[in-house]
Amino acid sequence: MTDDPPDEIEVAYAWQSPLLPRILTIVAIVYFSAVGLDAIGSTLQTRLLPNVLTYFTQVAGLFPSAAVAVIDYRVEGWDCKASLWKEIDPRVDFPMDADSKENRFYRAMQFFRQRRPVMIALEEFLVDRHNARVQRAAQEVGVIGGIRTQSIRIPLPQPGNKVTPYERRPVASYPTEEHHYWYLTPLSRREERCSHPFTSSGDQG
Amino acid sequence: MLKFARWRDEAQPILRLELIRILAPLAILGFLSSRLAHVGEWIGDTAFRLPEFYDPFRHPLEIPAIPTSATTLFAVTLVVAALAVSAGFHPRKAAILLGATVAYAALGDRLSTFTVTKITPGIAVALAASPCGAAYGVDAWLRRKVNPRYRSPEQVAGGSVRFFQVFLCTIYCGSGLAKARGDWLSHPLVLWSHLHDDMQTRVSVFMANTLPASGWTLAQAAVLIFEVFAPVWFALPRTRTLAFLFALGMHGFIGMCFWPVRWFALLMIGLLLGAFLPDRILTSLHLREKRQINPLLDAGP
Repeated sequence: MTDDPPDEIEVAYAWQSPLLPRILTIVAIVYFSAVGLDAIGSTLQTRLLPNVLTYFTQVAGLFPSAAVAVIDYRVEGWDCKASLWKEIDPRVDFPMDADSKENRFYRAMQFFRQRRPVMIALEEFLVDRHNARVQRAAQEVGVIGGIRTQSIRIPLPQPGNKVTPYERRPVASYPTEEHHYWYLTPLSRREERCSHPFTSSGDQG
Repeated sequence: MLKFARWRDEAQPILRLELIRILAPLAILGFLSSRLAHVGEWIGDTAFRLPEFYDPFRHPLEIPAIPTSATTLFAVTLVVAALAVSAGFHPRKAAILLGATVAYAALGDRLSTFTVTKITPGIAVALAASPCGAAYGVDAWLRRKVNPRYRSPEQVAGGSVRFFQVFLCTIYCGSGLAKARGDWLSHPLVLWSHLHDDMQTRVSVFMANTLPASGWTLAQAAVLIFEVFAPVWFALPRTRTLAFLFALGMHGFIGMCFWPVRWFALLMIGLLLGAFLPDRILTSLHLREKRQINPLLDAGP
């Protein structure tokens, strides 16, 4: 017996047993079927397979719809001192892919803007992070007691008109009709936070 | 059934499989690079995490975040696994590690999960179940060092290459059908409508200002026809090369016009090269590599 590899192998095989390729073929067929069914909007695969698996088959529905506007998601903080909503930049606390739609704040808003538990968690996270920064050093916006999230819906240019490069502008510079508000910290919670500004949201219960 | 088994098992040039093994992990790593640069936000427990709730479509499993102190280890494991697959160093084991780490991140952080993250575990499983790394990699080089007479296999059992060929056709066809169900048959400017947000590049602004509206409608129709009928175009030998070139051009265009999507475009290009690169190009690449290993081949008979 020797451990030396043979001089030449003509065709490489992954498995010695003929059974495994057959099993893998079935697995592959199930996978492709689930990808295809998801793409055509069927739910059959979700009834036959665990959701954890079908999650990985939601891959083919790319850009199916036309964009009706350029959508950007923004957040304002309730400035306790000025009693005003002032824009805060979520990209400081969501630095990954900060300048694109792939940013996690943008995605949280895109998917879950109407899901209250997610918005409350987002509120607690942003308020805590922002106020912790204020505690360390002066910020443009002081202590905040809550957040207000919104989408800015910028109309598309008319086809044939000049297309200008996209630029991120301050939220206040957009016309009122382009703002769509989604979530607002209740006044009672804002007042509570403003009276105890450096207590973590988690500590407030 | 027999015909299908014959088609599946028909030996393929091993370079097809190895091209995918080399290129796909690099594109995946490129896509993950922005996440790896902020690994604490990606999978760490001090970043924003979705609260516990069940959504079968978007959040099917609650997975705990990784303690911040361990996130670097996670990142290193993922990068090393991807590079090992690409280099052909124990690529099958490394592919399992790559698939497992990306699957964990895809389930753990829905907010940063995209198509690339979702197809990576599938690609990794397919590579782990294939004999990838038998040629064109560190393992093959080490085998030659041990035994100078060793020659790497030139062909591979067809199943793994067939997987990637069918995978591409499924993605294209599924994507085309989803588009047809969406706005692509009723709205003439779907492509154009996506050129205006922060995904745009200088190229997309230039194209939006240069190409007339009818040009965008034509491009939209061409993409839709290509995608819906992709299995036909790639199955027929007469249309295969044209379909291959069209797909390369389409992904190149998408990557240049929608900057965040460039890694997905590169991943698809890598899979396309392995799955459908015309045989004559594949043969010339293979001969060039053989000559580098054995210069005597140049001397002729």
